[in-house]
Amino acid sequence: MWEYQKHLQYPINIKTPNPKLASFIVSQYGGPHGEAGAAMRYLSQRFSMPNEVTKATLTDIGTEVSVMLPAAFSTV
Amino acid sequence: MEIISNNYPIYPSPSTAASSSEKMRMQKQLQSYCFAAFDLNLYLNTHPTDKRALSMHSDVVKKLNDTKAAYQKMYGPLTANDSLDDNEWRWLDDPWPWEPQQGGTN
Repeated sequence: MWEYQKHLQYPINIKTPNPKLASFIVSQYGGPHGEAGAAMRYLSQRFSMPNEVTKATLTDIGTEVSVMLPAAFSTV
Repeated sequence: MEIISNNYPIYPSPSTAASSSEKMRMQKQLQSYCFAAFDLNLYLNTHPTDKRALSMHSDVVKKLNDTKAAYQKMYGPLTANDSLDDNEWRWLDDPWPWEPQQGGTN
């Protein structure tokens, strides 16, 4: 299971806020073709994987996507 | 180790710009070590007996844990379970990572 770490994944320093760009970035995350949906699929599919490598990889990639969300929103 | 590199040196980037505070410098270190550890994590998932990768991972994790300990001593808990408060619950403290940071330039 997961634990939230109180720091961003990458340094972010917005000098000129750009709401249109920010909402584009966030749109890559949500919606039917977004990363969040993909993460949920990975985290569900790992339960039916036949070997250690696939179970571990789907778990790790699915987890990593959730890390990206605060960084995306901090650009708003 | 410069994990987050700047491929376009004429454009100043937050990863290479001078950090405006010790807090930001330590956060950058955390971010670098986390990135390196996760990258090695994915590699080791498919190459579980690679001795060099294994020792690199252990090395990075050790540096990450040392940096975490130092950061938390100065700036408060990084996870809820790292809170060892007997006075006040510092986990609540602002700023949260998606907000402008004290000592930052945002």
